[in-house]
Amino acid sequence: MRKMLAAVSRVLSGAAQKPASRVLVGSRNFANDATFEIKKCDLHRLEEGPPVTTVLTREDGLRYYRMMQTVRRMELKADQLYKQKIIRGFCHLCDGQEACCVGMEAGINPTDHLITAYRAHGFTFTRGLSVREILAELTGRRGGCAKGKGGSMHMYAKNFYGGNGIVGAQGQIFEAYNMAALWKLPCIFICENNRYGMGTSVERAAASTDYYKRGDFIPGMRVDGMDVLCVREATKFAAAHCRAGKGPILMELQTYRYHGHSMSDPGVSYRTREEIQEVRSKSDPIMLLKDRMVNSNLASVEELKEIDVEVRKEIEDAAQFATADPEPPLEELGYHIYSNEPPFEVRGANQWIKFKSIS
Amino acid sequence: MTFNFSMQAIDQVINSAAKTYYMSGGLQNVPIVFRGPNGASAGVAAQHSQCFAAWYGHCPGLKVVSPWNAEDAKGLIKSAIRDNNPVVMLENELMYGVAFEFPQEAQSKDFLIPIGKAKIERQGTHITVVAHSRPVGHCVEAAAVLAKEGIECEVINMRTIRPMDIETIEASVMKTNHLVTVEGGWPQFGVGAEICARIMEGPAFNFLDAPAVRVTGTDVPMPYAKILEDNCVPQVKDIIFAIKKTLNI
Repeated sequence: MRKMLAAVSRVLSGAAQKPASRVLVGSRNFANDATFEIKKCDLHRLEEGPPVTTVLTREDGLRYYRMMQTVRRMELKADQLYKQKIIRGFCHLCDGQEACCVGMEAGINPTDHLITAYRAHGFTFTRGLSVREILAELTGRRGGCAKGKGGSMHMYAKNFYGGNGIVGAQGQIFEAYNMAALWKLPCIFICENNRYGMGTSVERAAASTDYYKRGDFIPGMRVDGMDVLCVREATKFAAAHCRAGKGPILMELQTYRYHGHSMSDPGVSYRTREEIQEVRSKSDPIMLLKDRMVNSNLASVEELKEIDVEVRKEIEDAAQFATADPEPPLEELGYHIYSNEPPFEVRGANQWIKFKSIS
Repeated sequence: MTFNFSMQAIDQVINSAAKTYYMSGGLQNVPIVFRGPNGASAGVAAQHSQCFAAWYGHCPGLKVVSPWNAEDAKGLIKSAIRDNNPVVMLENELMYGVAFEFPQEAQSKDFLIPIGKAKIERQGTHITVVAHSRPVGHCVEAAAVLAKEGIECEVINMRTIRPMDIETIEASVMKTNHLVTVEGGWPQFGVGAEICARIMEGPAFNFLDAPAVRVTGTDVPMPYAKILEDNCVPQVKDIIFAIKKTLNI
């Protein structure tokens, strides 16, 4: 429990603060930090981009590793629970894309605001919710972050606005680009380009696959979305751009999802198993970070394995909770229709069935 | 995708499809069919469970059909395609996997079900029960249960939401003197509300022995948790309860 609280507090303390040495170092001497080269981003309407080298501290590295591993294992547990029919409805998993949510969170502050579409479990975690609350929401229990009423696609947290299910309107994004540019809104538009829109490859769906250029008058960058450090630096750069009052900016993260579009999609009818295997073996984000850390003496293999063990335990405990927690009480079915309203009655299946609605 | 996504393009359905023939003074017709799953599925939560029968049924210029069984689906889609007007076909995802007896005449390639005509799925004398889409099956089930208690329900499958076949419903009410409507959508301004209003405006009103009763979805966005979702979709027991209340049993 204490370890979990420590882990959570490390996550919540945010990347923006100066790291303090709270980590207890074992008998081995690790390096405190190391410098890494990261891929140069393709730029659109930008004179310069994010740096091509970055410093990773041991503490940050361990934190990113733990966060990515937690998201990975959480998504795999959700896969398992879905197949056992304990999770129902829609379930869109983000394993493979962990560097995106973790790297982004490392580049912004907890007070910044974030909204996303349905592939939202990773972001829900990086924005500060516990695995328990997320899994319990997936299983539709009262301990879920939305009290069981939202499900997979409708999770919210402080400064995190979900989780949205109805997407696909190209027109809307261009309208948003236009207004953001006109009003110079401090807004980072992010495309997690995982090469497929459901079962359609980007080549078949998009007349231009240079998504980072499609903001047109909005500057953009194409980022290696499998490298958590590249995502972090790009996000920091983009955030600085916005905070300096320069208006909106676009980030295309080139990433990959191992699962199909959702649990109803096996994910192999429109792409080959070889392709998936290749990404897993060459570009897995967790593996990339681990190799970097071990090779520069930022951490040992054993230490990272220990984190794996802790994460697995955390996920198991959360899954236990999510399976054992009771469903929300029927009396609360009508709650939270309006905000800040006196209580009123909600009609049920017929005029004699009534539910109370409390704000 | 489902009709929930149609809201991203609903301007085109209403303003470009439904109204064009009228706005052009009869010059330009729009022979298009919009079809897809509508209404609640299972565990797909708030943004993916809405019933659009009332939304599309509200609009002059559109025809709106809602099949229940396999022959409805075939006959109505063919009629919709052959119709020169914009037709919205509201299917149901949970019905796609359900098997039905497929009568001989329905197997013909020219089998059409006329748009604007309801079907009496089950004859009865004590009460008229009207529904569209999946709830028709629930009504048939409820009728079977009640038949054992000596209550004979007349179950009407609307098949078309707009133009509504109110005559079939009126004729039935004039025979049975009682009415229950059943739908999956929300109660306010819904299909049942329209049926009740029209009954009051027509000859059947004087034949009612009790106020008409509506069975609908619960008036909340669809929750995800199973126990809550089950209480937001009309069940067979809710229909039986409403029928008995209407008959004062």
